[in-house]
Parts: sequence; C-alpha cells; structure tokens
Amino acid sequence: MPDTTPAEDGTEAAQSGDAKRILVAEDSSAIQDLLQLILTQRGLSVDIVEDGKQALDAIRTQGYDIALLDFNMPEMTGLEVVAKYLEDPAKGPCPHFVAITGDVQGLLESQDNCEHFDRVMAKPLDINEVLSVIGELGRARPEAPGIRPVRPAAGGAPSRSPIEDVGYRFLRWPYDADRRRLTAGAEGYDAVLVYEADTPDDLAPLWQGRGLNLLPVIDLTGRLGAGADFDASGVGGDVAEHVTRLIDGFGDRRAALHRDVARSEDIGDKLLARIHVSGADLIPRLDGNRKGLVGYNLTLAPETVRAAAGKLVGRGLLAADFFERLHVCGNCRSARMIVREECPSCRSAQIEETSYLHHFRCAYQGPEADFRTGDDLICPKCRVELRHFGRDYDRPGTMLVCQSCGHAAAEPAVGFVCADCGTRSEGEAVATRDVHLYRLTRDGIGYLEAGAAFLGMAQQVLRFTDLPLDLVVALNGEARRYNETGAAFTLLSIAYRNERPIAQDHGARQFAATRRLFTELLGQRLDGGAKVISGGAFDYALLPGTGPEAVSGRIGDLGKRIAAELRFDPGAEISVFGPEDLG
Amino acid sequence: MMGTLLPDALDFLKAQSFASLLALYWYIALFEIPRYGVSFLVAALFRPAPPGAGAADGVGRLSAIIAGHNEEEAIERCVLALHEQSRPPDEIIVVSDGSTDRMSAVIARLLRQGLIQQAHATDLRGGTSSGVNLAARWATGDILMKVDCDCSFDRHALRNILTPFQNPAVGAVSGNILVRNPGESLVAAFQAIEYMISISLGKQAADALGQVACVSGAFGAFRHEAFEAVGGMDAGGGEDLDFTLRLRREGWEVRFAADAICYTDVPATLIALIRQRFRWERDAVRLRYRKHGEMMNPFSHRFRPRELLHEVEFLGFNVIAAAALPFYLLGLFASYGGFALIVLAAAQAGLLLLDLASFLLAAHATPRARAMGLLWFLPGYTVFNGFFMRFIRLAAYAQEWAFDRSYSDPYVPNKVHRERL
Repeated sequence: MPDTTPAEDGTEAAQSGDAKRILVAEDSSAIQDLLQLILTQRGLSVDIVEDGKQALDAIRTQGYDIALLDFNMPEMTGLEVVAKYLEDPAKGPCPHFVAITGDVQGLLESQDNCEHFDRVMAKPLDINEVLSVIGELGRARPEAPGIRPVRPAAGGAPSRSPIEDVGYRFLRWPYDADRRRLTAGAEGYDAVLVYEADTPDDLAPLWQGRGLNLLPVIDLTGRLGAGADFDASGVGGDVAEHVTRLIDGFGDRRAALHRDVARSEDIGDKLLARIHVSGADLIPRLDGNRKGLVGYNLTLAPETVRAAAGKLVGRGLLAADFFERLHVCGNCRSARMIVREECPSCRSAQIEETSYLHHFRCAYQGPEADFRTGDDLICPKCRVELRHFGRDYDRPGTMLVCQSCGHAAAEPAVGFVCADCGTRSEGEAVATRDVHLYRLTRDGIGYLEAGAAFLGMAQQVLRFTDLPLDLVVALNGEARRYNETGAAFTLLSIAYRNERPIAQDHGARQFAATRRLFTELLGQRLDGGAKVISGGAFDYALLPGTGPEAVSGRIGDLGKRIAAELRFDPGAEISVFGPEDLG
Repeated sequence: MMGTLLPDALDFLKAQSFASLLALYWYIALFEIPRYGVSFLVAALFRPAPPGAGAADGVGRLSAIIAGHNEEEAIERCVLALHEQSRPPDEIIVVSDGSTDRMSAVIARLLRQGLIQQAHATDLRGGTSSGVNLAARWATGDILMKVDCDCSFDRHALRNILTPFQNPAVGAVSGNILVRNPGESLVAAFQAIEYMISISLGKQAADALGQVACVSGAFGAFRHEAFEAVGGMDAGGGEDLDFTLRLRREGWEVRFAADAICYTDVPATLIALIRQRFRWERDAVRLRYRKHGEMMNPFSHRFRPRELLHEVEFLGFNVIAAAALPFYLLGLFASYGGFALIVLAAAQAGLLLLDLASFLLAAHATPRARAMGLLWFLPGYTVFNGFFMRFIRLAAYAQEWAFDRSYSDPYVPNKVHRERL
C-alpha cells in the first residue's frame, strides 16, 4: 500500500489514543472496500454492514465510537437508524453519527437531521475528509464540537433579506453556520450572506469547511468593511444585479480552478484559490481596530494571511508589493504603537522646545527661562536687562528641555509605547514589520489552473489520497496477492507537462481528447491485463504480474512513440512504482 | 670671519670690569638672569610628589565640556579618547557652537550611542565662552573640565588633573600642554622647546609660588562651585586668562598639574604663529591692564597683594622687556657699531648655556615630552625666543595700545566684540 505519513493527510488524530471502533453502514461494495482499507490501515477497528437494519443492530450490540451511515440505505435510512437508536430507553453510550449523502443540502433542510448527525459528508467521499472527521470526532467527547463554535443566532429566525429573493442559495451567517453545515462544505451554496458579525475574523470558520472560503461574502451588517466582497447594508435598487454579477463571477472563476487546488486542505492553496476566485489582489488596509493594524480583503485573520502568503511568495506563486512598514511591540507583537519625541535621558514625552539666549556682554548662554523675569529679560549672571535684540543678545538656536527631569538636549530621542501592553521601546531598537499587497504570479495562475502537475512536483511522490477509488481497490487486491504469493505488479503514474499550452492554444476539450487518446494507446501497447485508470491530475496504469524492472527501461520510449502518433504531444511523463515503492 | 670674531669677543669681554660689563649687558642682567634664576631656584627647591593610584578619589563627579565650532571630524576622536582614560569622565557634554558642518548630526549620533551624555547645538556662533557657559549650565559634575577638540591626552591626564582638587581651596587646575607636532617644521620645533621651558617648567615654578595666572583653555579643570561663584566665563578672547584672574580675585587657589599631560598641534608656519601670538599678547594686555588693571592698584578695593608677583613678573619680563629691547639694541649699535654684533653673540652664547640648563631641567621634570630629540634646535631657539618673540610681543602690545585690535579678533564673533566688557 502507498506509504503516507499522518502529517501528509492530516489524520494524526485518527492514529492517536486507543483504537477507535468504527461502524460503516454502506451498500456500495467499492466504498466498503475503500473505507475498510483506509481505516484499518490507520489502526482503527472497522465493522461493515450493508443496510440500516444491520446497522441498528450493530450499534445496539457492539457500542461504537463513530458510526458512518449512508443516508439512503435499504431497509432503513440513516436518519431512521439514528432516531430508533435514540428512542430506545435502554440504549448504551451514544456514538458520533456521521451521515454520508449525495444531497447535503436536502439532508440539512430537515431539522431532525441537523440534531442527530454530528457531521455530514458529501458523496463522492473525499478520503482526506473522512480521515479528518474521524480524527476530530475521535478526539472530541460526544456533543463537543470539533470546529470552533459559532455564536448561535440570537432571538430565533432572522428577518429575511430581500437579497435571498435573488434566486441563489445562501449560507446565512450565523444561522446556517453550525458545524455540520460547515463540515459539509460549499456544496449547495452560492454565497455567504452575513446577517450578524462584528469583524471579518468572526467568519474565519468558513476557512475550515471545504470550499466555503471560495464563496462571495455579502455583508448585511456594514461592519465587515473590505473583509466582505460586497457591502449590502445600505444599498437598495440595483442590488439584485450586483449580487448576480458577483456570484456569477465567483462561480465562473471557481469552476476554472483545478481540482487539486479546489479540494486542497492546505491553507496556502485555499488562500491562492480565494485570491483567484475573488478576482482581486490580496489588498491590505490600515485598520485601527486590529492589534496588527492591518486587515485584508477576506475573512481570515491577517496573521494567518501573512504567514501563508509569505510561504507562497517563497514558492513563486504570489508576488508581494510593499504597502507599509509598521513598528511592532517586542512584547505583545501589537503594531498599535504610539510614537513620540522623548527626553533622551528619562524617556518622558513631556519635553518643551525653548530658545537659547546668548547675552553678548557677559557670554551667558542658557534657556530663555533663565532670563525671564515677568515681561523683562534679565541676565542671570550679570543682572543686566536685555533690551536690544541683536545688540545685547540673540537667540542662537533652540533646545528641548524635559519638564520631567530637567535634562536638555538639542535633539529629542524617538521612542515607541505599545498602546496594548504599555511596553516602551527606543526608536532604533523597535522591530518593524513590512506589510505587503499580494498578487498572483503567472506561476500562481498556472498552478491554480493546472494543479500540482503544473509544478512538476508530484512526479516521484504518489499521494495515496489522490488516487481514484477504483485504483485504490485494485491496488489493494494486488498488494494482498503480492504479500501472499509474491506476484509482482507495476503502477504507472502519468503526468502531462503540456496540459497548459495545449489547453491555452487549442482549448481544454482538445487536451482532454489528446489525453484520452494517449491513455487508450498506452493501454493497447502495454501487455495484456494492463488496467488504465483516469484520475484528476494524473492518469494511471496498473500492470498485474509485471515487475517494475521489466517496465522502467522501455516505458519512456513507448510514451514518445505514442506521442509521435498524436496531433499534439501531451508531454507525458511516466513514473514507475513497484510493490516495494508502495509499501 | 666667525673664526676670528669669537676669540676677539672673548678677549674683549675678559678685558671688561664688572661695572663695564653691567653697562654692556644691563638688559640681560635685568630681564634674562632673574627669569632663569627664579625658575632654577623653584625647580631645585620644589619637586611635586608623584600621585599614587586613586589619588583622584573623593573629588566628586567629573563633567567634561567640549565646545567646538565646525569640528565634525575631530569631535568623535576626542570623545573616544576621553573614554580611553584611566579615569574617564562621568559625563561628557558637547556644544556645537553654530557649526555649519555636520557637527550637530555627529554629536546627536554620539548621544544616541551613549558615548556622550548631553549634546547641544546652536545655529548661531557665540564664541567659546558662551558655549562653555551653556554646557556648564547643564553640567551635573562637581568638577568641570574644559578640553579642546583637537587635543589628545596621556592615559592618566584626567586622573592627574583631578588630584589637586582634593584640597577644597583649589578652584582650578591647569593641565600641562605639550607639542604633538615638533617634527613638522622648524617653527614647530622651536615652539616645542618653548612649551617645555616657558609653559611647562615656567608654570611649575609659578605653581610652587602659588602664582599660576592662566588655566589653559585647551585643557583645564574647574570646581563647579567656583565656576558658578564667578559667573562662568566672560566674553572672549583670552577668556582662560580672564577667568583665572577672576577666580584668583575671589580667593580660589589655582594649580598646575605637570603630570596631567595633553598634546596639541602648534602653528607650523611662521605667519600662523605670528597671528596666534599677536592674539594672545593683545588679549593679555587688554585683560591685565584694561579689564583687571585695578588689581594692581594698591588703593583699589580689588587690589590683592598675592596677585602682585605674577603681575610684576608679566609687566617686567614681558611688557618692559619687550619695550626696552629696541632701546638696548639701538644703544649698543650706537656705541659699538659693527662690534655690537660680537657683543650680542657673546651674550647669546652665555644665554645658550642657561637655556641648556633650563632645557635639561624641563626634560627631567616632564619626562613624557621626549625632549632630547629637540636638543639640536636649542641654539636656534635661544635667538628665536630672545629676539624674534620679543619683537612680536612688542608689536602686539603697540597694536593693542594704539588700535584696540583685540576687539576685532575673528576668534570672537563681532556681535560679542561690540558689547563685551
């Protein structure tokens, strides 16, 4: 089996602690195989049942930590299973119930469903999501939410905004923002409609659900500022047209995202995708309400944006333009710093500028206060009255006198005081933080459109969770046979270097056709029994009974020969994996 | 010619009686012999005790004051040198006196770096006195030490200049200034000898007699209390002499610390030297006889008997000696014609011996002067000091008397000249 470390697929939680007992109620045998394979690999104890009745019996008798229930099963739906179990007065401890459904929106419309299921997962299943939900629920006590809790709606149902009549499906914040819906992802929503929120950061949980960060945020509160994509708080009239244009624009650009990026859980990928989908650069704005003094035009904490964007700049996917340099408190990292001129001696800001007076006759030189006696200027040294400016005396310059300690200096020191924690820093010692505007580079756009293959970075690393389901099941069978009989097999992974140029010059359909033709020819030219499987970013070929050493020498030439027969060279790069590589 | 002249001269001198020798050399008997005599006597009788380690304890905090005009290049070196002292100052205050170069920016940086404690900058130049007064106004030390930017110091100079302040009656101490550039020119070499004999050795003699009349402006220290008591510096020039005279008048003792050594560059060209000495001598007569003339008048309430000695010394050895020299020479040439040269040469030969003795004494008293390399310049120095410098002095006095030239020195801004006392 492919060897993936927990850190790669975010499932470390699934492996920690005692072995969890999982029930899978699912009538599709492919999904049964897949879940069994993955979950047992993670050290979990898995029981499989095929219908609702068996599921109810199993839950009653065995006592599970988590029950994954297909919503539409023979005999009894998932909801009925849960309802019956909960009705039973003699029921044991309650497992976490997770619904699996092809119609998330429909499921969530029933209030009962929302109460009974801890999570809802959309079909087709995303392996990463399954693992991360199981990890979370395994960690959490029942009813303790795994996602940051969202403030419940105050006072029941909201007054309905006319925007909801525009004809799109809205996630109404915070009323629809329970953790089941957030986990289920953006499936079934076109936009987020914010009824209540104080700051853009309140909407940060959107970034935890898959794809929710890619929806336009329409602000009805007027408090989100640039954090929202559209401020609908004070507009009437043409709002429908504007909302339509906004949502369609987001939808079009979202559809153009490569599946790798759109489904990625990585915060950097999410951020890249958000910039692309919003159609705007990542623009910083000074915001006095924030400790960091800067907010960006999205609903993610600026610290997170800065860290993630910094890494993307390092990878060449974003370009950074200087926006502002802030001074930062060394103690609490706040950028809300009071800058002032201070006494170089005692650091007090209570300094006053005063003139020097120079009495020519006796050479006394000092601050004007030394001379001042009522309205008169009397020299403190020789007691002569100064009457004639330029003749008796002049003012050769100014000095700063500290009213706190009496120290005098020609120039003040510059100092900072943190408005949040009160820490003082000297002007030359205070740390600075540069704020940048971020925009997509050509590489960034290429990555968003072509996925990981664009970067050529997935060549020698096979990500188990990226593989198509039927390939996983087939691989599992081959692996078992290899362990039992020693029969070798080979997996080819095919990436297409020329996907972008072909798609740009001749259209995505042309590339799809080229790719399909390439895999067909490859399947024909390989020895009998080869199984070619189309994936997302890559295509695959599984060769049972053939070891990788028999393939690797000639596969490059074969690829070139096939490409020569095609109208466009897809730039196929074929990597070879054997049973040893796949663990 | 010299081959026959010298034996002739000796023969001539041998033939003279004591009375006729006195008639021949009255000038030397009056103005040279006593000068050397006093020095020898004092130097022979009084030897300063070498200060032990920590001898500067208990005199309090030391504030170093540097007032400079357009010293952007020298100021940093000067400040760093002060930090190198065995007894560094507790506070350094720098005043940029109307500098038009980057001096104020440099001292602001030194302040930020913590190398100095106060930095003041004026936009208009006011002269040394007003700059020092300004710094003193803010100084927190018990002892104020004024240094010039272009001076460099012996490692123990600050410790040694503080030592005399252990006596609470002492109000000011002058440092010992030596020449840093004797090799630069003949004129500089002559001045190096002059600083050793007249200033270093001469002030040691004056110190022994309690007659130090001028605390050097380049390197001197003052008790803060005494500085305040006399109202600080008066408008210049010659403010160092003026300030010392006023301290003395108020009863403060003024000392000379021979082992507090500081080095400075002297004018290397004759014209620069002449300008400098014109300024010094003009200021000296202006201050002694215009501003402080009453100190010599026995009927004035400002008369102080203990000031008499240095006043008489100055009047006799500087003013009258310079004024009498032309008459002496005229008389000599009138009586002896060309033979006067022989007479003078014989006198110089004698004076050379006295100068040699003084030189060796000074070299012994100030070992750090590295004097022996200067020995070869001694014959030239005797003539230089005996005739040339006296004529300069005379010209300066005459100019001051006739034209009040000290009132237009460029070292003091015109606005100050116009108004000062």
